[in-house]
Amino acid sequence: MGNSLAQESGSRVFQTLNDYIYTAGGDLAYTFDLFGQKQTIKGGYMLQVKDRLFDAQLFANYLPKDNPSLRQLPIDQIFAPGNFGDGAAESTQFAFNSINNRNFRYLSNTILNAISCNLTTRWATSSASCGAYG
Amino acid sequence: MRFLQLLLIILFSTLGSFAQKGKIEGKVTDAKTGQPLAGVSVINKLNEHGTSTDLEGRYTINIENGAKISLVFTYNGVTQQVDDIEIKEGKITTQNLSLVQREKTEEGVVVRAASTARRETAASLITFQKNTNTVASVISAESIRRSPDKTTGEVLKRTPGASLIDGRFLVIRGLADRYNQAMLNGILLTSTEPDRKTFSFDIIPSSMIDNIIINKAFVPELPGEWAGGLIQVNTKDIPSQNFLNIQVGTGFNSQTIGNDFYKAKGGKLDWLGIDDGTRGLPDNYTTKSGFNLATQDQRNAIGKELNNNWSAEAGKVSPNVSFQANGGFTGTLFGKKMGGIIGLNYSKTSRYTDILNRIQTLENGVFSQQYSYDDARYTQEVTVGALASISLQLNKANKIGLKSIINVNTNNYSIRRNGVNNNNNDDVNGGEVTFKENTFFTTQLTGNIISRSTEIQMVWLF
Repeated sequence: MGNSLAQESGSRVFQTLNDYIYTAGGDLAYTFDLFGQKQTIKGGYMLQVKDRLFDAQLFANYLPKDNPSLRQLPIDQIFAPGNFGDGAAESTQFAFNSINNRNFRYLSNTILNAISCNLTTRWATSSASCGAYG
Repeated sequence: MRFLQLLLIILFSTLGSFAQKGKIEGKVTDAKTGQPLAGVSVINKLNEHGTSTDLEGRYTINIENGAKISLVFTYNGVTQQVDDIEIKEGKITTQNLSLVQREKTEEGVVVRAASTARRETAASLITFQKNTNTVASVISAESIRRSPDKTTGEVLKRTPGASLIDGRFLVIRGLADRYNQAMLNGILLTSTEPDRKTFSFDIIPSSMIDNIIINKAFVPELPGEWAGGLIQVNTKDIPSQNFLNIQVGTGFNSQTIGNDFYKAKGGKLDWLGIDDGTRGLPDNYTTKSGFNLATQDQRNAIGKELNNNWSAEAGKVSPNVSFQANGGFTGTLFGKKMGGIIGLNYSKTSRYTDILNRIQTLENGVFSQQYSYDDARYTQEVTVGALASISLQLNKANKIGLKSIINVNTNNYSIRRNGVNNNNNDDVNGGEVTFKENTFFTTQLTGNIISRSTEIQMVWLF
């Protein structure tokens, strides 16, 4: 146990990550005869919205002033509620606080619009494709 | 790190089948384009009974006797016969066909020579590979049915160029799991792990899969956020017959069974992989900014309220458990053909790993050790999942489907650490208890419209 906040000892981490993905779209295929061969044109549209929420909260117990007898208690007794003090600088009892960092929480969002088209010919089993997104 | 693992698995499986007759199902595609052919007449030569293919080119025929039969396929003036199809009683046989259409130069009705069942099934697969405008590997329901694989992951590792890590993360063409992307029925899947981009393929049971396509080259109509491979998993919609499969399994690991297994005190729902609030933040904690505005006394009060389960206690571990049940039904709703599948799966596994955890540095020719820890890691993994899918065939040209999957994947572990930290000359005797719960839920509505007069096919999804 240190006398400052540390992730290495007496710490707890709570974190959540939520991903939400919404997709909508359609594809169309049209087959027709040209020059006695079957030709296929395909087209499609896709809308995708992605949201992400991340939140982490880090806490640690620490001893403002060293207290060897408390520090050496077994792990299932050391953090008993009775061992917490008032958190003053001269206190030899535990104090509780959070470890803060601006990276511990973020929100992100992506919106994707995509279209595609594809022409498959049977003259020489060739195909041409195109796509765009933004 | 290497450890010896001895796993004994006893599998009890019961296979229930409602139908006593044999059944034959399959898909008819155009040999030239690979597109499904709708309206192909399929006749059983023995009794002249038959059916025609639906808008996806699929057909199903009931067969009375378990014998070798011949099927006659007729489409657009072309007749093709397939012989030697072996029907087993109470089982479904798959017979696909890639039909060679009549060329403009040919006159009248064309009857092609009969070929065998085996040759035609292989031919349909080759037609698909030949006609895709991309580099792709395909795994069909037929090959999944022949293999003993239980999960999608096990099925995928049989594909050339793919390998599986930890039994669930896929490496394609040597590119690690984060370079691959998974799709389920045309919808992009999220990462199943909170700390990296990957997908755990053990959550989809293999019995629910219709086919898997692994794209290895980009195509305009599919997302491009991958480099190794795009794995498209398509689940079954209308099953060919009612079925119910129940599988119960158990096993043990010599490193865990009979030895002390350290586990932190948990909640009542730990066996389901769900935390019941035992590990949560106390009621007097409101928000992150609220905590930062609180006085030190208020913060200490929150610290005291938090659960005091810091230690992992030794106990005996129960054997691993796995349970899988899936059922399918077909019927009619308002006179329309409908069908669906429902699946449940559960597994609980215990594992022990001994890790030597060290950081060493070499600076100006001086070798020094930062720390050296001996970590004993006790892991309990729980997976609970359910899948439901319902499809309704409105008419020959319209089909609509609804699919939902929910999955909880939990990793509950404790680490007991002993060692030395040379940076501050500390003897370290510590531990870590972690509960990582991962919930995955997806639901989608899809539709399929085909207009035969103009040969327009439309697929939409939500």
